[in-house]
Amino acid sequence: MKHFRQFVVAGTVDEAIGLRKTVGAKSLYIAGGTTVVPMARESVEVLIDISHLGLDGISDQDGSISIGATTRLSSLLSPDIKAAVPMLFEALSHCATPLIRNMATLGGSLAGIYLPSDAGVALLALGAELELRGDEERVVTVDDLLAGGWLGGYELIRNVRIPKIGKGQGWGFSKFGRSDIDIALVNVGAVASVTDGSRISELRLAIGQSSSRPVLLTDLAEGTATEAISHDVIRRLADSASERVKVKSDFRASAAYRKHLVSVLAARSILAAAREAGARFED
Amino acid sequence: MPLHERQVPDLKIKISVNDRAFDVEISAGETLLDLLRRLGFKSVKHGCDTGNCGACTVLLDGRPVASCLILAPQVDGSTILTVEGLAICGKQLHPVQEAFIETGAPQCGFCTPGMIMTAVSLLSENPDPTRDEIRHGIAGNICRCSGYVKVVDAIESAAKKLCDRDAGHDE
Ligand SMILES: Cc1cc2nc3c(=O)[nH]c(=O)nc-3n(C[C@H](O)[C@H](O)[C@H](O)COP(=O)(O)OP(=O)(O)OC[C@H]3O[C@@H](n4cnc5c(N)ncnc54)[C@H](O)[C@@H]3O)c2cc1C
Ligand code: FES
Ligand code: FES
Repeated sequence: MKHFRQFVVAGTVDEAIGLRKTVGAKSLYIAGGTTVVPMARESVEVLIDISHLGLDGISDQDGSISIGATTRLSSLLSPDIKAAVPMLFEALSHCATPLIRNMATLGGSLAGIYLPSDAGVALLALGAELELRGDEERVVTVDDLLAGGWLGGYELIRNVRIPKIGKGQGWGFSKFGRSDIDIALVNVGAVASVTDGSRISELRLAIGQSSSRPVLLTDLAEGTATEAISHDVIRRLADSASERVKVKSDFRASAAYRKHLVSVLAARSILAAAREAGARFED
Repeated sequence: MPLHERQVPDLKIKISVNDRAFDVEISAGETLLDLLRRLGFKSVKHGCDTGNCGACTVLLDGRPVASCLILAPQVDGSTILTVEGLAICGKQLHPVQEAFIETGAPQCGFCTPGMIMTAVSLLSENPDPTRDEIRHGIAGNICRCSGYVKVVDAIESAAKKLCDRDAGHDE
């Protein structure tokens, strides 16, 4: 038995937001419930169910994929998503367990990006945009939303728009936790553009780690843009990424261990992304 | 009535459990796990209460979920299957149950009902899984008696039984 006192099934987005505004801090939205049910603070009394608002579903537009916020993670482990957004597919394949993925939603997973969420870090690297509804509608990238301190008080994620990887681009995602299905100590998503099969001309590296919020580094490749790709270049990119991430020690891992993990996983993700983008270089 | 005083109608829900219809009163904080045990379905085990162990696994509209992570008001109108509802006509054990017995997969048995429900769903989606696919499929079901090898053996053997049955080769 949990402590919640009221459970309201919202019929419309406006009703959900109105309720959340009226009840305030004693209320929370609930989608799949996989975080809310085991983790909600005692002060939360009212749950507002947003899973019947028609916010689920996937549509394939020209250069992007649009996913409704209440789409379950298990529905995203499909051949269509694997083909259209392979990095999200890879991130979700190692996210939690089948039992959790059958309830958890993409919106709920993004709302908890600080964990760090695997979907959140993948979508940060991919430059995904979120359609939000609070007092007004806004469309904002995951990156900008993080910079602004994340979601506003009662803001609702309606939809996620993910640009498809272009020609000459590649992706890589890696995660390390205590087990394959555990929340990551560190997870890293990379999107790289390779020019002439020999140089990394652009690199977006999203780094999540459980001691502070995820970060996106977009200027890493500037220093190596004229150099032919080699394991040495990838090593240097990964090390400089690791230097720029703020880590702390806690009961899960020491700061030094985390730094080391960031560097190893960054190298793996960059290597995979460069190969995927058509980079040719000697082993 | 102000919006924030509205509740799920009377906090009464209708669910089907193992093909039986229930019209039950619930409270907002009651989990599906609590509710099922209150209704007498004691195969649904109370383990970690945090979604980590899988002892509380049931099929919700055909898909395996951790019932400790779900609130009863979330499942209004749904169909639930627990291990009590697996036996054919309430008598003949399901091939997955038979395979668990024959292989000696249960030790203390606490994880077994959840494990079996996950296996039933896995085999309905993927009738001929590799051992690796089985291991990934049961990743959310932990066995503290550490009997995974026999559990994977049992699910492999169940796959064969189901396949033979469907092909009409069963004696
Ligand atoms: C055992 C276990 C293992 C896990 N392992 C992993 C892992 O390996 N990797 C990983 O990334 N995650 C992991 N998770 C976290 C899991 O992914 C999240 O619990 C899940 O994605 C949350 O989604 P939900 O729909 O269940 O959210 P809910 O629990 O319903 O909501 C979570 C929060 O998000 C808010 N919210 C939900 N939807 C919206 C929306 N549309 N707009 C605004 N706010 C919203 C809610 O108000 C609440 O604050 C794990 C969880 C468990 C229980
Ligand atoms: S009791 Fe539900 S997962 Fe452990
Ligand atoms: S048989 Fe004892 S926990 Fe699995």
